[in-house]
Amino acid sequence: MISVSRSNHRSSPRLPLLSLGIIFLNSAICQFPQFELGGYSRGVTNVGYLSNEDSVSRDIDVESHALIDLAIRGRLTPKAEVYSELRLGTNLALFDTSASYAQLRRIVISGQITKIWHYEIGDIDVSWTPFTIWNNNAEGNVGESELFAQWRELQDYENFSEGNQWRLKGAKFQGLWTLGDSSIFKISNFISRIQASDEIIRPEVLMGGVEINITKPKIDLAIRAQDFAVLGNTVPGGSSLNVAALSADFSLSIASVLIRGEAGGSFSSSAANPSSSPFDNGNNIRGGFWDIQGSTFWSNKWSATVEAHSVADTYISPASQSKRIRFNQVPSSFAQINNGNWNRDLSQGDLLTSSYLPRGERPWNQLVQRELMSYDARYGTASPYGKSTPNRRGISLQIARGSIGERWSLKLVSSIQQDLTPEGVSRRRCYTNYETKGHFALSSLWEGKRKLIINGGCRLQNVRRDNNLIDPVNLKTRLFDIGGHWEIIESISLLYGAKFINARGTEYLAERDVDFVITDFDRIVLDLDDKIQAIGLKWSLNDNTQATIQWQHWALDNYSINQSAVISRVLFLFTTTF
Amino acid sequence: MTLLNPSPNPWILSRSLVIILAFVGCAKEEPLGPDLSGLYGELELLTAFSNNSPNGVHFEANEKVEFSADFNLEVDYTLSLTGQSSGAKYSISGKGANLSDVSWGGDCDDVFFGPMEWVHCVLEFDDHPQSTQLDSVFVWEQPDLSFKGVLLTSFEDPSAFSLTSGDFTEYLETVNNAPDAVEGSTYMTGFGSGPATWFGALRITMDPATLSNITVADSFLNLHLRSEFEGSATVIKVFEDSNDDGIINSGDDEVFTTKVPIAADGQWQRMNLPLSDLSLDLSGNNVAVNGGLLDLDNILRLDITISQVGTADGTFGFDADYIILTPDEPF
Repeated sequence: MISVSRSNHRSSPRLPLLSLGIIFLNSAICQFPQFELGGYSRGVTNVGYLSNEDSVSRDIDVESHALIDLAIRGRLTPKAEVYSELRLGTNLALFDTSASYAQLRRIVISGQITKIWHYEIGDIDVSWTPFTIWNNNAEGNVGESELFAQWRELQDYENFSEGNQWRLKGAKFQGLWTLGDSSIFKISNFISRIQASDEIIRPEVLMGGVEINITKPKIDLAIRAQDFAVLGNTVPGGSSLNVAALSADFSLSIASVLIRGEAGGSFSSSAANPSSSPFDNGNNIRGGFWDIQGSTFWSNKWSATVEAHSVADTYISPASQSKRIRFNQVPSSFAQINNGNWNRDLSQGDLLTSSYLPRGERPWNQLVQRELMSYDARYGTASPYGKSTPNRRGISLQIARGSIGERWSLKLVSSIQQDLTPEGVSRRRCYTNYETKGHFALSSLWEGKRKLIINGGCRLQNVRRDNNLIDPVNLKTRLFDIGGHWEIIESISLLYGAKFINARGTEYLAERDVDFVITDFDRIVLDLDDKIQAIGLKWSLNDNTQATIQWQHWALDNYSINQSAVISRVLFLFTTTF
Repeated sequence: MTLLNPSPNPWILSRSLVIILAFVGCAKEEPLGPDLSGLYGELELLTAFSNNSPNGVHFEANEKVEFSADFNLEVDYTLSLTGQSSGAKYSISGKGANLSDVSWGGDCDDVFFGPMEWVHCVLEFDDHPQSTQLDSVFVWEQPDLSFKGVLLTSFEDPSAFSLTSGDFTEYLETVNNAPDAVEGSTYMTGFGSGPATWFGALRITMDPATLSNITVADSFLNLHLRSEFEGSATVIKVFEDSNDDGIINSGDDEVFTTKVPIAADGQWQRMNLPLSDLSLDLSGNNVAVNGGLLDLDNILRLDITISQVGTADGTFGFDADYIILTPDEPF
């Protein structure tokens, strides 16, 4: 059995597409070429209803589609193999073929150049560390229900955002040396075309990087360098811009203690003064970060981690600060509700169930970009850009026990952060964050075959800054997730999920230009609730085929503008993998 | 270090560490971004908005109105002055926690503030519209602003100009004792009819010796114009004595010109024309002598002609007042 995901062994995709059973087509006949086939198929129906009070607006929204993703790996020669994902789909809207389509979702050519060097060309996946190249997870999940998780996985899969990798178009080369003392020396390079020039106003953008890693039995050292380059000469009168970054990290393992540290910095040419070179001391922008953490493990189940970090306000890292969600997008359905009186923002339900259209606008971002993207303060303002959020320093403590396969698991995280440099006033904001999530198999308390599992979590975040001259910062955000899974019979389970998000208080969001200079502040006063409840049935036909139908109830309340609305959805999802 | 023997080279590692630590940011002393208190703080006036001329201001005595107020925040403010009888306006914008540097010497945006006139003073704050403050000041005499440049004519002195009519001129005179003059009590009015482009001209004799502070590159010709005739324009002509014979001869001396349309809204408008906009006129018999460059040392005359934008058959004309050359910046 050979996995089709082998050309992408770092990605660990959540959906089972790339870890499916394989059909051998002709391997018994000859060694090359040799083909393997895997696949993922799904059918979706997504019906939304507005409440009866919304009599003017279109009150039903229907989206449905069926598709199959065929993963084909062809081993052409000893030096080259091709991996492709071909999508065939229809939106089920018309009874002819005009709504059908075929797409190439991914293609990678890979192989061994020598025994040392391996290459990939095409749609490559790249991920380094949370401070360098990292696709941060979307907001709004802290141990959520299986009903929500399956849709989040679907969206991540559609957005090529599985794990924390960025899907890039380019080439990757990796050299690996194994030495006699169990040391491993690895060099990884990549070059990617982030944006193609239209030769008029949109310049060519490239990103490349080098990672050198030395691994010994108890020590790991890495040095990384990358450059995000805007090629100004690809458009008339354009100016070239660079964001160059250099970082290093080490980890040391002694008995049950692991110590890890990372530090680095960026130096970028100024977009406001684009003539300056990133290596010119005059106008370039420099910023750095450091992070150190210590972890310990005991009794095979418990672990504790203490971490401290600091990120400068001018640390620019496009590939770790670009967000997975474009919060300036409007919802794809029912964007204007309450009879046209409320142009609502993206709710958590929109992020989970946003329609899949082959070339439609969705709130999910796939591009690495230099500018800081907008974010939604309802999820807190402590770390909107992950660990590499500019102008933060803080410490955190994490204690964890168990994993999902065990009777119970628990994870507790507590952190305190602060502005590294005050913004707009002389005092710094203080961010406190408490997070817990876990699960418990209730059915383990009694004899029986049917599983009953509850899971959930909560995240409480508080931002404070006292001030006499202006309204103080006092934003509190809360996120609660609750889920339940009851196996009614062997193949059918009753599922429940609830998600409550609320935000209350005042905050001043900094508006930064492309050089990360704060040009203005946007004062926001939040008083909102975003609640989803869902109940559904899951039918597991076999290990690879499942059908789930669920009913969702969204209650959206924005008390600061006196708007409330209810949206209901019926969601049907059928998936099979082979 | 070789690839086959990848033991870390201490020199490379130590240099890399030094380079990385050089970037690692530290906290800065000054807060980032604009002052939040100025943007969102509650504005309080620590001392009331007032001025130093409770009995009125005598501009003839070179007095100035000095305003005062103290705020609890650094704020963006705009002080707007409006003449209650002349309709003249002037505004001063700034940012600060007080008005200690704000004074008014009679400057105006279009028409001059009149004598014996109440001027309303409105102090507004961009980010605090609810905190608007009011005051007033009485102006005894009209200010003399000729110190800002070289006054060519305000039409109060008939010897400072002449008026030249032509076949298509219908009316070209000065209006005396006019309460609607931009400054003083006299202005010029002229108009003509027909499919022509010359309906008369205002002629001002120039003395190069008075233009010592004026440069072509940085100076402005400032005119106050008013028209009710659609399509009216003025052609500015500057005549040189290029060959230095003391007279202006077509074909021997250079002429520089530019044409400016005038809005027909019946309101006085201030026109600030950069001298660098004047270009060599080679129409008719005119010639290029000194490379086509305006030489202020040779200027003998300025014509402000009544014209039209095109060549239509109609009535065209305008009123003119207070014409002044200013160095470095518009009037």
